[in-house]
Amino acid sequence: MNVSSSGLTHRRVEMEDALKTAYALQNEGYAWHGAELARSLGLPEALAENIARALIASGWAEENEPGMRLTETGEARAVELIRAHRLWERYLVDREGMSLDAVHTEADHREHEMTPEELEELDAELGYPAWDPHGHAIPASGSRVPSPAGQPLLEAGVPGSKLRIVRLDDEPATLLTQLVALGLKPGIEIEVSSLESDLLRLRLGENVVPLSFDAASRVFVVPAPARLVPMGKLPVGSQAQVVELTGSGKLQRRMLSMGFVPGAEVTVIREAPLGDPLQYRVKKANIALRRDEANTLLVRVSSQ
Amino acid sequence: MTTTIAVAGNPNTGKSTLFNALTGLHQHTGNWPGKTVERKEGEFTHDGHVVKVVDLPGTYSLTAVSSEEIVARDFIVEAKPDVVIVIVDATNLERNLYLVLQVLELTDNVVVALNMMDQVESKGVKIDVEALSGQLGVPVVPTVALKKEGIPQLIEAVMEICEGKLDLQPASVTYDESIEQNIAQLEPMVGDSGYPARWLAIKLLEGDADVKEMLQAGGNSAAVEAAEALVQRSEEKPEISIAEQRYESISRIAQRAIHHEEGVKYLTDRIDDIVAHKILGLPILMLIAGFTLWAIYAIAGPIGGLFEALFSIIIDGASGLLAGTPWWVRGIIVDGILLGFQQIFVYMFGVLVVFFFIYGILEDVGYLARGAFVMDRIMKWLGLPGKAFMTIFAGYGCSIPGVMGTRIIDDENDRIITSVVVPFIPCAARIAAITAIVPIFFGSGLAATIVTLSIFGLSLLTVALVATVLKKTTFKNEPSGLVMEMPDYHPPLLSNVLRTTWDRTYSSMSKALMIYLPFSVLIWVLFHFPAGAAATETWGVQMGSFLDPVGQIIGLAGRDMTGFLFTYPAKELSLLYLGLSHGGVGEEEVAGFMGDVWTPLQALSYLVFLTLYAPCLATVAAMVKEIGWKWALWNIIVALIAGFGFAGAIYWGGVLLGFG
Repeated sequence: MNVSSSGLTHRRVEMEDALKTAYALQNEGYAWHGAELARSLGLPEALAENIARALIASGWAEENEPGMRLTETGEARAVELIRAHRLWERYLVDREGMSLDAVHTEADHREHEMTPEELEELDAELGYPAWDPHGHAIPASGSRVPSPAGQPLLEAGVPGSKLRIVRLDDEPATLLTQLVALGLKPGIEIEVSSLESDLLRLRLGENVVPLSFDAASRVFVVPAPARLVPMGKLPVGSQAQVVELTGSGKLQRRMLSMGFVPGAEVTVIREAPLGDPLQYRVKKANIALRRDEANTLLVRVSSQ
Repeated sequence: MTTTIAVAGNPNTGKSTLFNALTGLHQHTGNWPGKTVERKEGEFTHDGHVVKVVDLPGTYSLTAVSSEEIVARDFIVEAKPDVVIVIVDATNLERNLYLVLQVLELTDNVVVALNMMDQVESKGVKIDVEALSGQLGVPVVPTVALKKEGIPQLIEAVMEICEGKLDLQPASVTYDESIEQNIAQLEPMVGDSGYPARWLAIKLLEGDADVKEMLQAGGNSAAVEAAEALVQRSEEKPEISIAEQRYESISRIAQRAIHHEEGVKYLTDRIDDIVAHKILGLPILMLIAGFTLWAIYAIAGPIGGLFEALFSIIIDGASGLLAGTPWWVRGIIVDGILLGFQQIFVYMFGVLVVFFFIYGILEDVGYLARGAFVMDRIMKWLGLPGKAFMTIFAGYGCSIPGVMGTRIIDDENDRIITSVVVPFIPCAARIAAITAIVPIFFGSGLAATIVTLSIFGLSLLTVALVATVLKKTTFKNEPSGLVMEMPDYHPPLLSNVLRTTWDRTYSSMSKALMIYLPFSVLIWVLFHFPAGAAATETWGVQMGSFLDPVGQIIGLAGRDMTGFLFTYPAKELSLLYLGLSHGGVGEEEVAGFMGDVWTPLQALSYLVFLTLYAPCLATVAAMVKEIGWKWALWNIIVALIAGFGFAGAIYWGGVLLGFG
């Protein structure tokens, strides 16, 4: 994918960065002026005030006591920028093999250089991805940025809880580098093994890794969903609890009356000589089911 | 005033035993109107008061999954029995209480017979009977039906309800708020059909097709539509939530009344470790099946011999008595009717008794379900359900028990498919004909073995073809599967087994005779008229020339085909008729000359056709009884197609290859 190098002015980039920051502040419920922009962007206050006025002049923002507010066009442009940023991050990781902690800066450059058509093309080339590599949702063209899911690990991290990482703050970059080095990235499941005075210990597969409170506040998690398996896939001897019935008709009705209801405890007793059917114990009775029928029940494994 | 009580219960809870214990010998068996579900009725007298007992079919539930369930619930509502006894397996109460709660939704007058109480301890279960009765709000009587224990107390409780002496406050399941709201909304809409409104509302939410149909026919389609809308709007399928919540109620009842010890290894588990074993399972099944077939051949033969002798005496006597009557009266009575009786008793009775007896024992003990478990995969290749294995084995003895045996198959479509294909399995009669004819043309070495095995293989292929085609066409919308309880083993009760053996044999025999006898008379007439005609000029023989073109399809002469026509009632006579139509008498003589009449290819064609062409008349009778005349007719047509198709293909294929 080639990027057109249009004659972007330095001011334009500054304004768009401010626009994104303003959008984020506004979404989090903060009122903003030049001063807030200055703090978030790390710019001198005078320059930030200047930029803010430029935003108003270009029709992206307006005065709205006690602070300022983005106009509809301003919001639309902000979403477009976010979309471009996240699509580029996806591109850089997937197509150029760049590491997760390096893509943010590069995407920051590239996001400003896209026409809507090019953006569309990039989206299509990537197969319309839903998530950027940090776990942020990529807004569809013309939509709002979905509010981020999950809560900070620092809040959710009770020892013993099983969680799934949904997103990482992509700034500051050094912290992101550290998280990536530890193997923490969106989509993986972790278990909080202990909470100490200044750090959390997390279990990631076989490893236990320490994480500072500061870092833990930038990792966002949701409770790990119970892994449901089709009952026919359970090995002989395992026990499970029925969660969901996805079948229909007479067979399902018969299974229900035999006791295969949500919440029922099931043990796999044996397989028939030719591998099918299988014998299950439910409600103290032995019931034979073909694997196909068993697979219409989704269960949560309790032990094997 | 007669009192009527009904006995309901899960299969394998000792329901028949309880029924027998209540009624003794005062019972009769039939079918429920319009269903292939056995109906048993009996009576007993208590204090000079006659009590009629109706044995409802064994069911796990009262949904509309099977005809059994519909029969059971319709009887409870429509016949309004004074009391319903629900028999439950005390060693497996939770699952059994599911049916109890559903019966309680239909009627208040319920007594629970807590059966198999002698086994609870060994299975690590403790039951507080009083607490259970309190929870359910109806009398609970511990029984051991096998030893007739608790029967007087059970009758006592029944009579108390009849006389209104008991204050019944039956437990009813309260469902969660959203379901209860839906029920409340539907209740006023279901009309007055005799069924409890709450029950109808629940069934509508469960999506019960039978209840929907009934309400629509009764002009209450608004209720059906409203229910469908409510189901649509529900987050979870009400059918699932309702079942789930019934089981939750049961857990609460169980918590107060039942105590389980953990880790008790049942005898059943230890037996299953062997008979359902991954490697041993199949060989054990083959041994049992082999033994069954051996017993059929070893025992049925001598029984047939006895009947042959007995009927010879009767026939001789009758001939003497009828000496003064016209020749055709004598012919019809002696050679038509009495000989027909003899045939049926000689060839069928022994086979039926032996098979139904062994089958009854395997059923009573609980092994049938294990056999089905082990064989299910193989049966699936044939397009049949696992439980069909026993009826297929039976088919190698006689197609009639094979067809009758399909009753234990739960799914109606599977039952039809199995009944329709069982007759393709060569029965004892056909096997006898095959083993008699093969040596004439193929000797007794490898060639004979290959021919015999090929015929057997071809019959299985036909079974698989027909079953698969039916599955893929007529029954494609209702996928069948296997959801089968493997009940705990228990020792067989000989009196139970003998009784079911007798019931089944009697029912098959009477039906077979009713169809066979007129046909037997017809054949006699065809081969003896017009009056005074020479043996070669009777209608029957003349028909042979008409059949020449038909015979050509499979490379045989018309007179060979008349043989088929007349062996239609009973195929063991094939060789005899073959001789008759070629002017020979006696099987040995036939063996002597048929080798010159036919080429081996013609013999092969004959054998294939004989195996497939159509079930014998008695089997058709059994099919009519079990699955209705339309399916019986369907079977005959398909059998003819298969017979002509395979035999024709083999013959003409052989001719093309130069074997003609």
